[in-house]
Amino acid sequence: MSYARAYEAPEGVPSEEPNPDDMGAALVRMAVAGEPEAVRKLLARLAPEFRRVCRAVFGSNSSDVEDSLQEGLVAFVRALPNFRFESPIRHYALRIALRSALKARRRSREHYQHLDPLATLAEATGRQPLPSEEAAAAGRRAALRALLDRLPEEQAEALTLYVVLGCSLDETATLVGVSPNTVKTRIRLGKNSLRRTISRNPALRSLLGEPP
Amino acid sequence: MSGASNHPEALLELAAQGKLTREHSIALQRHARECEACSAHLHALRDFRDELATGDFDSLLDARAIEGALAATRSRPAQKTPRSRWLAGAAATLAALLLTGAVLARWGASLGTSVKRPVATAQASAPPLSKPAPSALTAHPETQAAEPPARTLRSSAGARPAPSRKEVEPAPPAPRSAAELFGRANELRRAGKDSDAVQTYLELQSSFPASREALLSHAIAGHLLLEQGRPESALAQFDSYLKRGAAVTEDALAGRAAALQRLGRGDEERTTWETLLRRFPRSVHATRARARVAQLQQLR
Repeated sequence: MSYARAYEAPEGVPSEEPNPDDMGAALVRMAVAGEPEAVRKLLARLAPEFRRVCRAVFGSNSSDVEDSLQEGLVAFVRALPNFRFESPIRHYALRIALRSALKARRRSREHYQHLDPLATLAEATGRQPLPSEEAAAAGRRAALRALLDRLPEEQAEALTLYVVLGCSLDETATLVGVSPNTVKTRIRLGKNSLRRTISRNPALRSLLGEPP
Repeated sequence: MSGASNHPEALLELAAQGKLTREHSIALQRHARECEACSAHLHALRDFRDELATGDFDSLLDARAIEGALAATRSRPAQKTPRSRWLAGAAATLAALLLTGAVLARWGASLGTSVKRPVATAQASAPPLSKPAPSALTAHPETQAAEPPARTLRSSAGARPAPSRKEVEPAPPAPRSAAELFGRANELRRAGKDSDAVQTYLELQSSFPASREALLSHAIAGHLLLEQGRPESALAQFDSYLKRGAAVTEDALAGRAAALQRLGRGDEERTTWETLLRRFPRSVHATRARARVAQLQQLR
């Protein structure tokens, strides 16, 4: 028997891949009560969501992702005793993850605001030539992050959820903790601001090109 | 593009869900040609999809962050509820005011007395007005036992005045905890000092072999050693992890297979990839695993 077989699951045992939606109420209750193993298990289930948010905010190749991920998880563990079971724990976690990541990015505002989106594009393509569409996508992502940095926090928060993470308007409203109408207003204001900035910048306009 | 101030959010939501009809799609394209913000929105829906997808060895990244977060919350208690925070704050303020009054009353008798001492004592000894929220402070008994007392909140709150220079004795070497070594190794790794990071992970494994941090460090060190071109050592690390591991088994199996590939041990590599596919059929490594199994079967 090979080494690999020595630790493989017996026949008939289901695969070990966790179901992200299977956030048992009992597990959440135990985690909120401070049960260490439950906290650990809950973090393991939610960490991919936190990672997605950190990557959305910082970019997948940013060295800040790991720090921000850990910081978000710390904020979540510290906020767990305040969870009131009024929303799904995933929503509670996402809200904390997003606020923590945006806060960290804005804390590094000087660093990120010095990054011209087009310079970032050059950086992304500098080391090794990427396929042009991949390079353009990297440039658009960097440009959008830079534009979000310039928006008021509430608009940036709503647009990150809605535009970057692909949440629906209702989900965004729930996650941000405001009414759907308020979130629609924030998104409209944010988008109008984005539009004005892009329309004044020919380089950004050419980066966008034709709508996909 | 001339711009538009009303954006077709209903259509954009359908686009995000991949449910646009042809007519909708044409209408949305027409709007996006006039509206840079919606054009950026449409691009973003596609541009970010791949970037945010789970990639190779992401579970290792998650596991490192979880251990780091749990270690950080062990060294500081969980946040209290706003109400209890307010009450505790009010109590501390009241206690500080009372003690300041007492200090002022005694000021005439002892002008040289530092006001830091009583205030700090008041903060440290303020009785909790509500039961403190349970926390992950005790998340891991081994680490808790190894946690140096000097790092606790109470001792760092300045409850005692600093001793004069004459009273200072040479401090004994600070006891290290598994969490501390793990954190240090992670910092070294993030700073690009991979060799030092590996050394620190090895130190963690020998100093705190039963800790969770040491267990996870086997998988992390395995990957670092693999990147350093040391597949034999990497393999030993992955095997150590897989004997007891759980959270990042998927990544450790992929790492083990990669190490075996570099060592030219094809049969064992194939078995490892097959094990990974059986246990994690939707693994991020599945495509590579299937390709390697097919290649290795052809070579037999």
